[in-house]
Amino acid sequence: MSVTGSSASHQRKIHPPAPEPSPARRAAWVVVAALLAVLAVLPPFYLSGYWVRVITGLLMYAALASAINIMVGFAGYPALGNIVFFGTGAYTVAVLMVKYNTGFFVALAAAGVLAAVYAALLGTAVLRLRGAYFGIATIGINHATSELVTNLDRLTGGGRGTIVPFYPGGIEEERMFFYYLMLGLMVLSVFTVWVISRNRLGYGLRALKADQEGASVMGVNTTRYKVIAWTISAGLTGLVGGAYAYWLAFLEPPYVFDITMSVKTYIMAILGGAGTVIGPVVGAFALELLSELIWGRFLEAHMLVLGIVVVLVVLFIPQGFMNLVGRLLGGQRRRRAKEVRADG
Amino acid sequence: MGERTPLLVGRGVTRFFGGVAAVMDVDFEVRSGEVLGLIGPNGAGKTTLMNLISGLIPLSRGDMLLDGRSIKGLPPWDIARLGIARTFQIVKPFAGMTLRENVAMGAMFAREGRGVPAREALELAGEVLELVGLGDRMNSYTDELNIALRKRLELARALALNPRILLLDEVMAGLNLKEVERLMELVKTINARGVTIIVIEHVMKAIMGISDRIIVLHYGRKIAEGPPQAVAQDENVITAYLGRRFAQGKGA
Amino acid sequence: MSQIVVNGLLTGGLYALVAVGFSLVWGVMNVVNIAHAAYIMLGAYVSYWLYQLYGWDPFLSIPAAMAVLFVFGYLVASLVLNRVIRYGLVMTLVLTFGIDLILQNAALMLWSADYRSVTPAYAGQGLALGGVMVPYVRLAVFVLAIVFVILFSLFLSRTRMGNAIQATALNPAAAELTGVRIERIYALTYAIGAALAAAAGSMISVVYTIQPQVGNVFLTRAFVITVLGGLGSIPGALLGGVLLGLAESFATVTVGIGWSEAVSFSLLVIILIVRPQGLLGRRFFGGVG
Repeated sequence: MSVTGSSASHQRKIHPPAPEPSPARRAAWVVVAALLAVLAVLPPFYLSGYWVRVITGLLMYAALASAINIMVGFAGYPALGNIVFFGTGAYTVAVLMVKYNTGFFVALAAAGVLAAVYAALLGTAVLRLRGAYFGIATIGINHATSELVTNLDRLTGGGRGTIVPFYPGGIEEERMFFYYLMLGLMVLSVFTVWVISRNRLGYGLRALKADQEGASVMGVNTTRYKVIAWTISAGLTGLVGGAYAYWLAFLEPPYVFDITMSVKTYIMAILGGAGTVIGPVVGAFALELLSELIWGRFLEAHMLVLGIVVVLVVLFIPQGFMNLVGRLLGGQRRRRAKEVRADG
Repeated sequence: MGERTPLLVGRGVTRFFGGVAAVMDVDFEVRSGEVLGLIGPNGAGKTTLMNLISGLIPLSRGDMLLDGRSIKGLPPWDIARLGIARTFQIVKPFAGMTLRENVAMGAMFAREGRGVPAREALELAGEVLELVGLGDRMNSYTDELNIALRKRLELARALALNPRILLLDEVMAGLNLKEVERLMELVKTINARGVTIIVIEHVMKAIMGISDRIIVLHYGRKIAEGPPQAVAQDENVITAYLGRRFAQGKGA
Repeated sequence: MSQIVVNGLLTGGLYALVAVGFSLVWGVMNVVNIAHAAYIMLGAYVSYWLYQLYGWDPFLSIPAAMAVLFVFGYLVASLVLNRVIRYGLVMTLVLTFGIDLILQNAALMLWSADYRSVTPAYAGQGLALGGVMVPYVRLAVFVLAIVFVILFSLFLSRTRMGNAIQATALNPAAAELTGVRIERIYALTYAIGAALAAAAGSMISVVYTIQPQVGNVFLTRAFVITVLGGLGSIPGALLGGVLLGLAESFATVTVGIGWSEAVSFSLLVIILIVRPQGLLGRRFFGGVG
């Protein structure tokens, strides 16, 4: 009764499975990955304190851009207010460490969980909105949450801010701690995106991004998939926010519920290539290094520079670097595949 | 195997949009293994009926039974997993995915009730693409296809679910005569392999040629039902839809 | 009690003016114009400097502020925005966010973050009506705001240009077939939106203190009102403005002044989900699926 491939018939493999990288290609990847790993681990040992701090910031943005990419690039939902989970995570760490004397890593875990739960609760209602309306709603949620945190001043310190316990250790040690912490979080984010991109969740999200009705009649539970995607994205963002709180040691609601920061990570994801695995990392490094190297000195004009970059990205590379490169490479690969078939 | 037992049953199927009934009190039965044609003028409610069957919109009233069990209120993904697949009149390929990935979706998420692993789904997708004649374009992207090939892709995507019931919403619209004939052959092949088919089509020759039975809808109501020849002679159908010329041309 | 209502009404009139240009741009062009905040701010600063440097009465400088921002808006739309409008609402939202950042930062560098205010001689005076205090300035702002909204409404319904804008909002493709040049209509619409923001900004400079970020709080109001009243709907903007003004006025008294944003935005999110076409609901662009 089967149209194709009953369990007996698909034993014979008429077609090779999905294209797998050749051994040479795989070896090349391993070498590149090893080099990157060494490059990533070394900085605290040979760079100045200033640069270690700058790179820690880069890693943080790369992690955030990867997290927002799950929504923007895969599910196609412009979660412009995603920074709400960053703030939620940051304040979770602050409150737990200050009011309940928990250790940092316990507080950090709680930050990730709380942010994820928050997204899961909001998700079923808010993810009914599509496109920009969802984006606007998330901006609203961010503002409302920020005000909530400000008003719960007994718990959070309110508008006066709150001091988070300092890292117990020397300056060198502290620098290394936060560097590796952010590196770890970035690796976690990128790894998560990589896993998503290869499994059913990734396929389901890409399908619903293209067409929700089409995806749903193919068996994709679009409601659940969207909520799962947002929950993961929020959890990662919450973790990074929690780490940031400990790093910064002083929190005020406007610092961590900053919509500018949110849009920045969004631009990073787009710049690098939304929906790719390493695009957002590339975008984050490019944008942060650019502003740090060239205009970072003019502290006053930081936002001006960011604004100009935003406008230029939208005007000239709305598809992002990686997609640009990917399309070129993809074209080549397809041509090559055709040649192979012609030979055989 | 119980030939010709009702597989899908609709009872008093009704759907309102605002105050307007798009589908009103339609009863129908689809027997296992048959090809059921749905015809009627534009706006008669054919696509709405298909949307109701596939769960994209909920019933306002009535009930729908698959194998005697109600599927009323189930979301589209559950209905897909029960083995009801469909195509869309306006094709909905997943942009940014290759043809193989497009077709693999149905297998990955709905085949055998819960979907099969990604690798297996991609493999199956290759076989289905071969069946519909797109085997040599597996790694192309959907925006590289013309309309005829997109229609084939749409069909392949539905087939990858390994459906029990296949809903075809105007898969032949916009195709030339030769392409229509080829697609008709394909539909017959699929049906011969045991898939029950419900088909909406405006190409009269095609739908008369492939349907075992036809239901005619007019303003949301069923006005006729029966074998193609009988329906083509029905007075109500002729005045509402077919017109004199068709009936005379076909008539004895 | 009546004081609360009066306060709410007076604020609501200004809110309506703040929202109407924002709503127009959203409804006609499908652009969520974040830079609206910067245009409000710039309007306020035009009035401020004309008052400081030349002693112009802030009410008389409204046309000047509008003219400046009209030209500016026209340039932004024709040089930048029109090029990316086809990428959709999210991209233009991000773009106008970038423009907003540039303008606010520029204002900060030029004029510093100092709080400033325009204080003409009549600033502190008011009208006492049976225990209810009505400051002259706020009353004037209210009346003027309403007049502007009505004039703008007449412009849309009675002039050729207004009709062309409305036709474009309803169906750009069809409008183009009848000879309307879409790009020009978009530039004009955007310019008008900026001019209306400037008018609101001028009035804000008399009622509130201003600084480079003054537009942001009003932008959030414009958001809520537009969603509340329905995209591109002028009566909707009026109704939404007054409702929001009243709601905030009551919220200030009952739950405290710190909660106004939370109130506004909770309202926004709920309306988006429950009634995306707004209260008076003709909706130009779809929202919920």
